[in-house]
Amino acid sequence: MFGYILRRIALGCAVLLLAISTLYVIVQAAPGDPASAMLGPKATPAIKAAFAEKLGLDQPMPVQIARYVGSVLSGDLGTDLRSRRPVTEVLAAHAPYTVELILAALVIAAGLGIPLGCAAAVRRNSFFDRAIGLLSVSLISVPPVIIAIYGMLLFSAALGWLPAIGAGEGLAERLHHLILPAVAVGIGWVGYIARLVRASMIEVLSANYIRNARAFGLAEGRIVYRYALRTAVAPTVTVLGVGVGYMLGSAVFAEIVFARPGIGKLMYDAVILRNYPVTLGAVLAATTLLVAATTLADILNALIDPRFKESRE
Amino acid sequence: MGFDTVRAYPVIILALAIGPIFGGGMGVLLGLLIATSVPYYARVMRSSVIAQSSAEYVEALRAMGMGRARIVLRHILPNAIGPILIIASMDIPAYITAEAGISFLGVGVKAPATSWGLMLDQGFRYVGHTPWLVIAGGLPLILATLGFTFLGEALRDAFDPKLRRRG
Repeated sequence: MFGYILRRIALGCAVLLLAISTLYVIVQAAPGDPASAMLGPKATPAIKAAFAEKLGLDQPMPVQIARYVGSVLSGDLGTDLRSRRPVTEVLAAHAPYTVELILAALVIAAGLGIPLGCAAAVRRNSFFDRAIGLLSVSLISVPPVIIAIYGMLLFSAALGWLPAIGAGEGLAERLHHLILPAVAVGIGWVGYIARLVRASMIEVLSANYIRNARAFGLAEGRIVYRYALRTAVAPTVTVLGVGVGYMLGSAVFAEIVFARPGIGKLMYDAVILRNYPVTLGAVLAATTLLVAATTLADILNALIDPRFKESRE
Repeated sequence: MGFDTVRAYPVIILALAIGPIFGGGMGVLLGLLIATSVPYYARVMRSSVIAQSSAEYVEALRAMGMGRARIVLRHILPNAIGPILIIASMDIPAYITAEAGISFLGVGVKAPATSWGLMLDQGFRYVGHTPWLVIAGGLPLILATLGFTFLGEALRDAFDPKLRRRG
């Protein structure tokens, strides 16, 4: 198990390095020279040449990639063109807001989705099951940006129940400010998780060991929640790990609509202001979060269900 | 796993990273959506073709001495393309959503061209004055995504009950 975890972490690091290199190549391969893309349209040729030399853009591509990866690994992501602070510092100030938003969204998605899925599987083909099915399909398909905007219009502007802007100070205020964005990011996943848990629960409930447990006369509730759920929930953990990626995308909208100072809002503002070092840094931060989440999901899965580990090797 | 990471990479974040370099616009939007989908479709097609290749009719064709290219193009392809068509129809709402999001962020469709995502963006700028612009911009998006989702589900149920929604 320990070896598996180590290998999994090594693989995660490799994927991350590859992603950093790819990102660098894409940026460099863009039409127009990178110096003007990074400096904006007002830069003179002399400034551009100095900038290109300073960044080592005249070197061969593999050398450039190695240098870039090296500087990223040593924590140097460049300087914020606007505030003149190191990009790492800016990222560190914004990251907690995005991480807490994603965590809250995950709690909502799993906390509502898993029980709903279980209940639907136990009462298969009932009215309740069909209603959950319809709800899941509908929630999955509505664009997250619309859920965020409509949620804000309804619960903040019209009803005045929840704050519309910012992240709040102090624990109670922060949680209060977190509700709407987290629901906007997580709600689409409630239905998805419910569907997934329902399908795998139905499969597990027809397994031999469950029939055995029934034959021993165990109570149905105990069978479902003690024995079946543990196996049935394993695919959900993987999906939630991958889901963090999609949630990062939705978090961009939630942060813009609710003016939360997270990574997504930082990235958006940096794009508008052509603050390229910050954009790249924010993309790297999001990528790191994503790789960490998928790695963690696989490790968790191996811990929950040892069969999973073997099937992936 | 590496593949899953690529697949899960949020197209929105990729759009924010790459869109401004290429200047945004319809072409960039299409390029992004295509580039992020190709690997997934390729994987589905691969497993579909592999499944068909071991079918008895393929063996029969081979025994009759038919050329490899002809077997693949004339016989395997029409039989293997089904899952792709269903997935494509189920992906329509995902593309509509992606367009809306990317244009909302200002790196997708640009004025004077227009789109529902751009309507949302423009409406959101005036949300402090009147909510009706974003409400009106959002309704067709909700109706279209819901409609295509139900269509995709129905197509899947009709043609291939075994194909589950991807995870």
